[in-house]
Amino acid sequence: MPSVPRVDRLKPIYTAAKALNFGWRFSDFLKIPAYNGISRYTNQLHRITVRFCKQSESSVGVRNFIENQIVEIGRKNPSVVIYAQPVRNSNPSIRAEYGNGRTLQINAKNMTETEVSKDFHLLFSRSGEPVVKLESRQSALCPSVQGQWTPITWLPTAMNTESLPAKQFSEHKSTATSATEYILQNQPK
Amino acid sequence: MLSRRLLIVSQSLLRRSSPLVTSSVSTSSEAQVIDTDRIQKEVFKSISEEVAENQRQRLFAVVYVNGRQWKVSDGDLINLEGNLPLNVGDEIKLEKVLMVGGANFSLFGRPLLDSNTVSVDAVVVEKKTTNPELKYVHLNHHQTKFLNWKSDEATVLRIKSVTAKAVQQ
Amino acid sequence: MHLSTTLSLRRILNSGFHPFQVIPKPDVWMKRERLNRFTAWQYASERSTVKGAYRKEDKIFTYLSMQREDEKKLEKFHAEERVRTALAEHDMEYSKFKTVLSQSHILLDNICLSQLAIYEPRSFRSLVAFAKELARQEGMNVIPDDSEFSYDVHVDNKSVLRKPLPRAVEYTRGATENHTNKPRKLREEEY
Repeated sequence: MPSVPRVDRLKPIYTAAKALNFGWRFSDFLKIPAYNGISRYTNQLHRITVRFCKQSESSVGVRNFIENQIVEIGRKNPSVVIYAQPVRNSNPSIRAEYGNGRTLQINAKNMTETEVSKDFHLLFSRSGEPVVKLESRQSALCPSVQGQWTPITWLPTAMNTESLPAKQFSEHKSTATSATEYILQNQPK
Repeated sequence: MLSRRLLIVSQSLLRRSSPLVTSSVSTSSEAQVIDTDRIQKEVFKSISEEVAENQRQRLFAVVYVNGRQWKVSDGDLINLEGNLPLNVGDEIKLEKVLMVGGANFSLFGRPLLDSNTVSVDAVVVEKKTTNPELKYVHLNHHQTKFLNWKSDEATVLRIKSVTAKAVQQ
Repeated sequence: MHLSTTLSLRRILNSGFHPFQVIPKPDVWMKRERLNRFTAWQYASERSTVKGAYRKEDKIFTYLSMQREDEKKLEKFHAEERVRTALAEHDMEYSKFKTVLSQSHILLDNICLSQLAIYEPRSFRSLVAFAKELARQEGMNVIPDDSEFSYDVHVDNKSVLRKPLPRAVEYTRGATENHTNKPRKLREEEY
């Protein structure tokens, strides 16, 4: 990894661009459904279903989780419906349904109680939007208060009536003293 | 007040309040700080009018959160890195405000503005995992490849409101 | 004695597999699926052959990794470029602008400044006007603003400019000292 980012090297950019036709990589802007949080926050999770087997070894963690924690969580979140569904000889899973119509399922096979509770809380705090690569870290309803910059924002209005190129607009502005200026300022005696 | 904040007077802002000042100083001339108190009062007054609640002007602020500066306005979403000690639905106030601006004014803190004057309120709307990123090392001629899919946690904030109190004179 | 033929024969006869049937291999289907997930969108031999697909996959992974590493640095780099171009539009130099900002304790970073320049152009303009005026008062050579867009700046450098705040320390990787020069040879009395 060079210390300077690869921007000015033609070949890596070209080859990288060739390799960048990933059909499988989704990207999106940061989104939250239903204008959530603008006036008040509502939890986007509607239903959560825990499927487990009463006997099998692989759903021990889920069973312990249901025994110890699920009632407390249900009491804290009255807006969410929680189902515990015993299904004989099945792999345990947690399925969450969200307000935007999406469903998320986690396979809880052989998970311990702490792992199950971690995933359960993750599902509770998700908004239901799919996890994708973000185009930017921030998204705005109204990106600009003063009006976005355009190429003519800071052009002098006098330019409107002038036929270009005009001398007054094509001056080279520089703080450095040119050789001509230097000679003009310090004339040899 | 001057020691905390910077006074930059725009012509358009002053023209509305007093036509006298507009022609007084040009940038290219020599430095002459004249009538500073009067101008300061005028500027503070016009900013206070801009900021006043009944005006319902949209403000933006630059806040420092999560090791990073964000330019935020009402209703913005920002994606903070990491699993922060906040629950979903918690409301927090962002207190490190570097600047506030509106359509006709901007206030720059040196380096921070007073947290009582400007308030940026936010809600935690989502806590999630990020899309897995790849860490891949291929050691040539060693038949060795390391393939690691890295995923992190993220906390999404919604900015509820950016408000400022009237500037004290 | 030539033993190798016999020994080779023993190897075949004593092995657990049938001597003439193909040795069964583990199923490749899952591996191919995993491979195709990344290379099904490629063209020609990179899609239709296994060897080509593996080569392509390796390349894709390398570039994905590079992209992840470069992302943060590129963000900073692009922000600086944007600030430079925005300042060029206002006839200001980047170094002078940053010097005045750091001396007046305005700690906006390049990313934020570039956002201001694009989305809040008037705030940025006022900041540039401020920096220009202070730079001029400090004796730096600056190009005056166009009179149409100029600001009245009522500040003086003595009350505003201070010593810049200390910057966050970045510990770079590598040797702390310069070890390229050899140490001096010790004199006799120093032994």
